[in-house]
Parts: sequence; structure tokens; C-alpha cells
Amino acid sequence: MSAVISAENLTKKYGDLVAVDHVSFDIPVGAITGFVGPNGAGKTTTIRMLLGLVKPSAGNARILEHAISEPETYLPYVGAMIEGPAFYPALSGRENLRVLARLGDFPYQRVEELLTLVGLADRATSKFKTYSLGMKQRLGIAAALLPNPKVLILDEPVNGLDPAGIHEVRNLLRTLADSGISIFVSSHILSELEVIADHLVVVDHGKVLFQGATKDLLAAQKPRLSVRGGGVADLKRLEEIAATAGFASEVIDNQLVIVAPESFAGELNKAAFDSGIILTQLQITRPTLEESFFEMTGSEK
Amino acid sequence: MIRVFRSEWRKLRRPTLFGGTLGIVFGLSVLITALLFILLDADSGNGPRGRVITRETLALPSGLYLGFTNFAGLLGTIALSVFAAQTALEYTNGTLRNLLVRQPRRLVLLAGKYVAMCSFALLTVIVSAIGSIGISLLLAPTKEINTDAWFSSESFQLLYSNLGNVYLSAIAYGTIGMAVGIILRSPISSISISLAWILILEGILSFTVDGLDKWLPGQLMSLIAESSNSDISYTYALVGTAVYLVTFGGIATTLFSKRDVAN
Repeated sequence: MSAVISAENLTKKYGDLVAVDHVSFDIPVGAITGFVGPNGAGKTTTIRMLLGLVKPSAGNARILEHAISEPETYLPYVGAMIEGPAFYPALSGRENLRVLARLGDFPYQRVEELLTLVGLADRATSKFKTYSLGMKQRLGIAAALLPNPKVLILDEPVNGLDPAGIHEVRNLLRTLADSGISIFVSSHILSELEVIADHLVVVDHGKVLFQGATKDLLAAQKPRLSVRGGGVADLKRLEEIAATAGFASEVIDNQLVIVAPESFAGELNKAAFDSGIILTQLQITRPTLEESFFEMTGSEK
Repeated sequence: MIRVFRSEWRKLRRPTLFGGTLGIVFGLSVLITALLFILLDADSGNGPRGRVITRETLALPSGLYLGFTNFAGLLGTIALSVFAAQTALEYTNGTLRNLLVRQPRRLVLLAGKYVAMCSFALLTVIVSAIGSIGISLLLAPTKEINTDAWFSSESFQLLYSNLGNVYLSAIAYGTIGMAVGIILRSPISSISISLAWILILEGILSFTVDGLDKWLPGQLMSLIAESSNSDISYTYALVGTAVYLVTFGGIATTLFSKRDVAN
């Protein structure tokens, strides 16, 4: 089995609105795969289709080699948190997990283990409605882990978490992936996925724009050289040097940003020196996932 | 389905719902029955809608559970509210998606929830009967009511049949509540619309249009609990209610099993 999730022309229409448009992708085994796209890109609808909650208008998908038209065949091995944690406000965290444990026939011992794992053991008896957003998210992740899943599908798991909480979730996901669980995690926070995802599926307006290794996507983007000289005249001259070498550039915040390979840095430094310009800054920056995404979609921040 | 049943009971047994509902049911059944005895000789009447229930009527074998029967309509509306709220809240809380991930067979999930709520309704009927019969036994001697007939075999037979009818009526109300909960997916809308129809609109319609009450679901469900009235037979009420339940239940079951879970 090379892919734990395999979608083929998955489509969902609501009247005239095409929420998911012939989406095809493969999610590899044992990796963290990021599902990237802005709000409204079709991520949650796709996830709902994968979990049997929403019926596709066309196309199909397989999870653990089972068709999504038969969710009872694969969901016992799948953990999921969809569109934020949803629980019964008047029940405690422990009771909420027990409701799901009873339903899925998992031992209560598993509930206790997970409460400890996500750091909620000391608040297990508190009502869910008293939890902070971060605690709610952690309870959602615990619920998703109840079946000791082979596949974990998480929709926006770091929404509302503080930096420490994000760090915890990131470490938790890495630990789970290292233990062999395949993780499919959606987020509109691209910088977050850049850090944790081994693979990416990038969607926008219901369509897949990219799928593959995160490093491949980032490597495909041209690096940038950020240069500062002595003054405006120097920047003008540096812009001419870049243009002569065939590279586009623009002045942003009193520095010249040149879209060029790293190898051009030395050549630029020498040309600047020959022109009597002392560079006060020469920095090579790789595009972030966010910048790559905007480049792919042709949109701006 | 047993797993769904037990899972549902973990929600039903939360103190505010379990203790609150059973406490209200017990308290109200005691109060309504107590008024039957306390107002026994009052000119304004001691029964529902100012009806006069005499000492002789209370001394009959059916006198033991007369207060309980008077409370049946209210038990029905409580069952309707609980069934509707427990179902619709799964949509508003967003918890239905969690349940369906753990139990993807939607009809099994629905059936398990339904059976669990029916068992809860049975508990409310039993608690109500205990409260009502208990206070009847306490107050009867104070009003010099002859209770010999209450302990006859006829009385016990009538009691069992009455308990069964009240339970059937409560289940019917609850089923309508659950169906409306699934259709509207909002507890407030489900409960308010259902109760407004049954308690207000049906009342107005049955008073203003002669003979219409034999077609109204609330009237038919109440008649099951009362066994019959002078105009409509028990069998007619049973069949009429069944038609409504099959219709509403069919629509709700189809929606629950086919509709996308998008919230």
C-alpha cells in the first residue's frame, strides 16, 4: 500500500457552487501531509467526504484501500477532528471522551491514557464549556486518537492555540508520525504546515494546485537576494547591475530584493565593489510556503 | 446498537437532564395528584379544565391512578422536549460528526439513540406513577375516600394497562419530537414549534372546527393515554397516531440517513 488516502476526481457541488472540483491526490503512508489552502478552498468539504459525512457529487476516494462509500470498513482505523473540537458543553472532558469510547467500543483505560497524553488529566472532571480554546483543541485531538488510528485526519488542529500550544501539537504530531501513523492535517496557517508537513496538497477554489514533498515545492521557488547599499543612488545602480545580469528586482523598505539564484550573490558583490558600492547587507532568503502559495495562486497577501 | 444505547445513556444521565427532568416529573405529578384530593369539595372543581371528580369516582378501582392519568399529557410534552433536544443538539453542538465517525451506520446510530430515549421516557413514566400513586395513598384517608377497590385485582390490571397507555403516548410524543429535531436541526425551533402546535394551535383548531380533533396528532396521542373519550375510540387514536408516526418517522429517518452532515 503506497497511499493511505487516494482521491480521484472527488467533486462536491452545492447547487451551482462547486466546493470541490475534481480533486485528485495521494497521501503517503507514515508521513505528515499538509492540506493547504485559504478559508473556503474546499479543505473541510474534502475531509468530510473522506469521512463519509458528505456524499461526493462525483469521483471517488479510498482510505486504507476501502472505498469511501463504505465508511464502516475503514473508520474504525481512522481518527478525526473536523472543523474544530465539538463536544457536549455540560459534560466533563472525561465524560465526553467516554461517550465516544463507548460508541467505538474502546476501553476507558484508553481515555485516561489520552487525557494524560494531551495534558488534560488534571482538568478531566471539569465541564467542557469551562475549557480554554487550547484545551478544547487538545481534547479534540485526544478524541481523534481514541481508536489508536492508522490514519489521523485533523482539520485546523492548531486554530486558537498559543505558541506553546502550537509547539506541543507539532511535537505530538511528529511523535505520532514517527510511530507509524499517517497524518493528514489541514490548515490555512501555511507557516505552520511548512514546519511540520513532509508532504503537501495545496488547494484553492476547490482545485489541487500542487501535491508532493514540501521540500520539492520550496526548492522549486527561486530564492531572493536582499541587498542594501549606502543610499538611494546605490540601490539604483544595484538595480541596473541586476537587470544587466537578467534578473528582476524591486525596492522594498530601502532594500533591493532581487529574484535570482544564490550563485548570483558573489557576482553581485563583486560588481557592486567594482562600482564603488559598499554593500551593508547581502542576504539570501528562500521563499516561505506562504509566498510559494501566493505565487502559485497568483494572488497577493 | 447496544454500544450506541450505552453511549447515549452517558449523555442522558448528566445531572441537569437526569435529575432535573425526573425531579420535575416527580414534583409535578405529586402536585397535580395532590390538588385532585385537596380540592375535592371545591366549587371550582378538582380535575383538569375545572372538571369535578367526586369522592365516589376516586373510590373506584381507577381512582388509584387518576392523578397519574391527568398528568399524562404533560409527560408527553416533557418526552417530546427531551427527544427533540437530545437529537437537535447533536447538530447545533456539531457532535453528530463525531458520533458518525465512530458509528458510520447511520440507522444503527439513530435506532440506538431512539431506544435509549425510550428507556429514559419509561423512567419518567415510572417515576411519575410512583409520585402520583404514593401521594394518592397518603391523601386518600385524609379525605375519607374508601380505598378498598384500589387494592383489587381489577385495579392492578387497570393500572398496568394505564401505565402502558401513558408510556405509549409519551413515546409517540417523543417520536414526533425526535423527528422534528432531525428535520429542523435546532432544539429551540423544534421544541417551540412542536409545543406551539400541540398546546396552542391544536387547542384552538379543535374548539373552532367541529370534528377536527380526530385528525390532530396531539389530540390523538393524548387519547391513547386516556384510553378513549366519548367521541374517539382507543383503536382509532392508536391507528391515527401510528399514521403520523410512520409519516414523521419516515421523513426523519430518510433525512438522517441521506443528508450531508455539513455542520
